[in-house]
Amino acid sequence: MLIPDEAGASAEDDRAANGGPLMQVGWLPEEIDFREKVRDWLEANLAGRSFQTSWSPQALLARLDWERCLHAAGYAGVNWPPEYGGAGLDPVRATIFYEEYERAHAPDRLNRQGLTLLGPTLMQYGTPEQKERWLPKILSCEHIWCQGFSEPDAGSDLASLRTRATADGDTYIVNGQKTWTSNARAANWIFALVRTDPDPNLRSRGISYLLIDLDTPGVEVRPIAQISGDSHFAEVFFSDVRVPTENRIGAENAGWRLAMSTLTFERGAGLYTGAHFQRILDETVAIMDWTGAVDDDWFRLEATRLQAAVTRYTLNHYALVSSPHEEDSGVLGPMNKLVWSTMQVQIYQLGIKALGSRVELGQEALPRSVSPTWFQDYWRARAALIYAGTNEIQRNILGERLLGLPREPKA
Amino acid sequence: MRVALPDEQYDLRNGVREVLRQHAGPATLRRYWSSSEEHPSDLWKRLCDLGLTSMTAPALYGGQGFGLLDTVLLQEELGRFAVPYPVVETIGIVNVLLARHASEEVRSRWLPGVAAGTKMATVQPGWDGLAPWGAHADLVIVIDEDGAELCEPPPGTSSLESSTDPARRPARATRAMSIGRLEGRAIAVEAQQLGATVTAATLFGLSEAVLNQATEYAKDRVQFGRPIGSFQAVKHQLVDAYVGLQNARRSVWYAALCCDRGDGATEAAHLAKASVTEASNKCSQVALQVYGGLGYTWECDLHMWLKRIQVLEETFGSANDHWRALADTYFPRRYPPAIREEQRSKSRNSFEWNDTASSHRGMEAS
Repeated sequence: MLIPDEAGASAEDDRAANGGPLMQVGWLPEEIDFREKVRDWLEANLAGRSFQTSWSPQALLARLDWERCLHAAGYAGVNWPPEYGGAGLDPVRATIFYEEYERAHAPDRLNRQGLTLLGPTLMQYGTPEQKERWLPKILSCEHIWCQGFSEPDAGSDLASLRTRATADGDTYIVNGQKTWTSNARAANWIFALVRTDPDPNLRSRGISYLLIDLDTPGVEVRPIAQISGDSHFAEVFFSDVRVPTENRIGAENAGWRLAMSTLTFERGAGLYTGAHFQRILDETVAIMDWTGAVDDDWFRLEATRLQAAVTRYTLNHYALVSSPHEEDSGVLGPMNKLVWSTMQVQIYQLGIKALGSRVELGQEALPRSVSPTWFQDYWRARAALIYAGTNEIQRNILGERLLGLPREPKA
Repeated sequence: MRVALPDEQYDLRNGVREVLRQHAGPATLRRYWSSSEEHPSDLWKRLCDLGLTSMTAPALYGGQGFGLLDTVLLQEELGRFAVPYPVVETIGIVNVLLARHASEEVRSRWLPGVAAGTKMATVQPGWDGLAPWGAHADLVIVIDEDGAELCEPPPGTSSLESSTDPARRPARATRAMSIGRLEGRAIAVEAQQLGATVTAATLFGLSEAVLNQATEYAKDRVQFGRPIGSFQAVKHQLVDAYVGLQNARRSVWYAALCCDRGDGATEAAHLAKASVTEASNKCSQVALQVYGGLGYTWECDLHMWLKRIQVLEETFGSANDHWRALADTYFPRRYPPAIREEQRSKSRNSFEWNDTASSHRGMEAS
């Protein structure tokens, strides 16, 4: 890896010839100490735990227990502000934490939707009472959240959604259906976009942001069987579900702006550090090694290109979290999802190619050192081109916002 | 870890950008495409007055003592305006090599003049290579496998009669012109790394410029009742090219830092030149495609940038040269060539259709 953890930054590095601060490569002593501390803590606290990727009660319980451990140590929300229970770490330190988290093979965060999507949205748009009421329970996992945005007829065209919330005094009555609801199988709460104005032609201007208890009568969660063989997503059906209007975040019919913020958080740097993709690439290289493809010049070149891509991603991630310049964050942020999802699928694709005709054997064809769900991981990588805003939509947004190109006229 | 350049460098870059916008625009560049422009010109003087040639020369010789990273945004800018003179070569290679490796006598003979711009210096990659403005330069540094040769082209040296990019006035220095040498394989390697890095920075600027030109065109050009940039097929091409280019940018900064520190430059320079070269090529393809028929005309400025890109893609190593070198680092070959060949012949399978008994007329196995 191009940028070693142990590389210390010396004091001279900090000043450019003209006296200004220099691009700093390597880590400050306190950052090296922090990394070590995190690494030690993770090693000590992950010891003896095992995690499965299934949704069985035992699997979920193991992850919940781990969340409680993180919470007790103050690591549940490392980049959340302290006033909401977070550790208040600066973006660089948060990156260090997540790099070590990834390297320790710690499990996917159980409340990721709450932690990275709803939480920041509430911080931006919630009233003080709402923040008080909802935020701490995200970190403690008392409320585990899933995301209710897409519907069967409203995917890329989210503004056409139809799940209806009709006001009845201080209650909404919710009817409709959400699909591709991430984390619904683990969740006990859903943050949902609902139509509160009866006129569908209003599109985004009739939408509200509503927090719904999944245990409310009338809610039904049905897992979706995916081509990867697992079912991480679900459909959620609402039949006359009664929700207090105080569970609405933001004004009525003004939920679209909140939704766009949530989507921006979803597309942002998120939890994916370069270490995440380095691990996936290391798996592909392990497959190449296993099948002898590593001796083939074509494979060596392709793997080299992908290693360079991971290194560039890492550099850009550091720039995104550490640079105050619009030319860095204003560009790298919006393009992040498009870049990592494309790179990730190429990494997996190279692994598939390294298998050759052995691909028909499935998981049996792979060395023990790679993920036991590698084929599922491959299909999930394909899904990343679609979720969190399809890459086609991403290109539209980038073209319009970063390049200033005109929008396509609507039908 | 921080990856952020200081505000001062952006300010400096913006100031230089303004000057170049006024005095080094496309109309100026076009003059260098005919043979009308004489050296030294107003533009050359202006570039030197801006201090560009002195930035990386040591203060002792009238320079400002900056490093490659301190000046990387300026290198990009010189690319953006396709400035024809070997200013980037002076910033990134000439001043650095002389300051680090030349004798006191050589340094004091050349650096003050090069820094002030009263002497023009340029670089030639290899004895078979070409030096931009070599016939007009006072000093050509030729980088070969074992070091760097200092050459002084005599009066009457001529530039190539025809060239892909005539604004660069390429010429070839020969051993007969030698006046000195910086000997050592390490110096040759360092020079190539510097060259790869600053060429990558230049390519970034050139590529951003062609994408900007194409994007503006896509906003203005109307067909089927709307700007062509509103069609996804056009929009998405521009976005992919833009994203690929922005994705590669900071790898150049990192390579510049490694060159300054003398640590990690091998891997960083390979990565930077390979990444930016591929991104550049894509920008060149997309820009001409989006420009349509108009981009194909001599009168349209685009081709001046495209041809500079074409030359620099292959200067100080092509993308594949650098990928291969990196591959040797990341995935060292485990077996010597004879064994690899044996393995290959054993695995020759039914997909190598060299069997004459079953070949049809006209169907030849590749």
